[in-house]
Amino acid sequence: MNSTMKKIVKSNEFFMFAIILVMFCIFGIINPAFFSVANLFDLSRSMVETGILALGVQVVMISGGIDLSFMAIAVFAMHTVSKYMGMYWNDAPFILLVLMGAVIGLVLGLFNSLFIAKFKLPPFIVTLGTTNIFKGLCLVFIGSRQINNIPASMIDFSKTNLISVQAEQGMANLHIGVLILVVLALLTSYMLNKTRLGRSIYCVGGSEASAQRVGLNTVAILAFCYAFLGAIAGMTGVMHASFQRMSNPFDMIGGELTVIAAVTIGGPRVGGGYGSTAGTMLGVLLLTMINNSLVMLKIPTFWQLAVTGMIIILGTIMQIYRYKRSLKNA
Amino acid sequence: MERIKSVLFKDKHQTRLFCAFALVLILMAILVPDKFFTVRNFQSMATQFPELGFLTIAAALVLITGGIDLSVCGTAVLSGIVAARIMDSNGSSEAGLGVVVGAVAAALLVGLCCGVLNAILVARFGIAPMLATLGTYNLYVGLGIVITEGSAISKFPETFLAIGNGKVLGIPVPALLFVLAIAILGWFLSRTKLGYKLFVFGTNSTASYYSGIHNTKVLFTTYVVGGIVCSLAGLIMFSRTNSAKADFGSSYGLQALLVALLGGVGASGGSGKASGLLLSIITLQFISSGFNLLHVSSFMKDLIWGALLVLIMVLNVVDFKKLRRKTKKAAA
Repeated sequence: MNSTMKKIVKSNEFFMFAIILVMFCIFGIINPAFFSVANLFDLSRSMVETGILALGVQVVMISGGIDLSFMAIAVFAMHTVSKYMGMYWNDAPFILLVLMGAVIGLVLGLFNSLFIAKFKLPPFIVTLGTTNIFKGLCLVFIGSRQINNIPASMIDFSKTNLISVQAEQGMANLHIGVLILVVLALLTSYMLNKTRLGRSIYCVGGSEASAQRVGLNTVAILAFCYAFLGAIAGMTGVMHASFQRMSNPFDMIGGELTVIAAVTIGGPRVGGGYGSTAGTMLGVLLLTMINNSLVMLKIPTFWQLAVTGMIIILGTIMQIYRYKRSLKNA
Repeated sequence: MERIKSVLFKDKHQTRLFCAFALVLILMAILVPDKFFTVRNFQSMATQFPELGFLTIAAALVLITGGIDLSVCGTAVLSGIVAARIMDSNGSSEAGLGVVVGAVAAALLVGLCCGVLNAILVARFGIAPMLATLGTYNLYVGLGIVITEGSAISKFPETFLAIGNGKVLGIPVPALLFVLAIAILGWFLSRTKLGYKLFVFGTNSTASYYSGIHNTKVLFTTYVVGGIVCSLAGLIMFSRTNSAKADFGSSYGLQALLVALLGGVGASGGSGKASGLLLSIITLQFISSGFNLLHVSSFMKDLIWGALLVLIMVLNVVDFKKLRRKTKKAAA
């Protein structure tokens, strides 16, 4: 075995992939319908929202920070865009709506980074505070009622499919959102691995003091991370309303811990400076697969949360164990 | 001199908190004096805040060790549900005193076990507290859903309802329990050896290890005590509302952290006072009750809480920089 192969086999991503493959086979043996095209398409559709959010969360976690406020940002962007565009420009193109969501998210993300990057306040506390601020602003000033009159292009988006295949029962559809997720994942991966900015984020996460000594503008890099997550969250918010075909300001909030959990299983450590897009996507796949498949495995749905909790605990234990072993071998 | 300065700096947070508290009181006295300063309003406030207060105590203990406990609400819900299930299957609202005592004991035991599991993950396996408790939060609430099968359990015996709704000399029982707990916490943090060790560990765990403190033991005590305190919150919560459901108070977990941080518990560990916690929870309760009386949208509360937290943090930092400049000048 040559060294590249060894490196791949020893990597966290390979380990995750192996676990997913084994579970995949077990699920398929218990219920053959699991392998059906319809189910696989459905699974990838369920990954879209968590997956896109996870891309942003991973960047912040690699930089050594944490953000709890992204769901509040998503809801703020979702509700603002749905309400005002629905009222004043009902047939605005979808791409414009998503961009508007991204801009709103970007501004709110920059608000976070003002305190985190500039004032050097602990990110956990700042974003805990701003979660409440964004949520409050949205509910008090934008509105606390569900909006059904959303722009027409958003409803069109929810019906747009990439591929439609004739399945045993009806049609199996692969939603276009999956393509968006893949493109964004590739872009994020490119940014993290091949650009100076991306490598600087790892550097800041590894040690902020050293990053500063070698001449990196840590304030700007951290500000970028939170703004990036904000923009991603804003976009996801608009997509969420499209999928639901309405905008409910009480949606999404509370789900932030699930996304953070998915990212964590995929590799980034809380200390920062570590993690990869492939790992994050595998983490999202693992959690989505388990949550989606309990019904197919004839396990009552009320077990869902308990199983998620156990997966997070076992996943982190396994990672710590592998990390300690790698330290011993080194 | 340095010492006096650091004490002053720490106390400034309390001073600011007290100013906020006084400001809220004055505002209420001007805006709604006839409705706010009534026995009934104070009684209803005193029944509302203790459940969040107990969770805050648990969250604060873990924050002092330099960790973050996201599972407080999960522990409260799970232990409350276990108690509810025991009473439900032993006569529901006709259950005798023995059953109630057994159910309460079982709830406390569950709280203890939840604390032990958290401690094992953090102290033995060395998982970052935030991740460990993120996992256990999902697990505990998930088990709560499994036990209740997703629905609510209601109709508890009178003796159990007295925990959340009873009054002694006009003062609600939860408030009495909470004041007692805060007093014990204050004594524990400032007067006992273990409390001192907690601060040393939170400031620098390596230093505490080399000075002969049993780090694992300190962590275990913290999480176990936290778990038991959480189960008290769960009991009060379900007794007050006369029903038990797994998604009850799911926002309490992050709120408890917010209250603790507002109360002056440092995020990086090693600092915090019981009096700060009391002041912070009462101020926030005044604000939310006041908004109710003023008929302001209840969501305004979120906005104010969040803004207060960020504002106080920023003030602390700005102050810190000024302090450093002064010391530099003195040195020159």
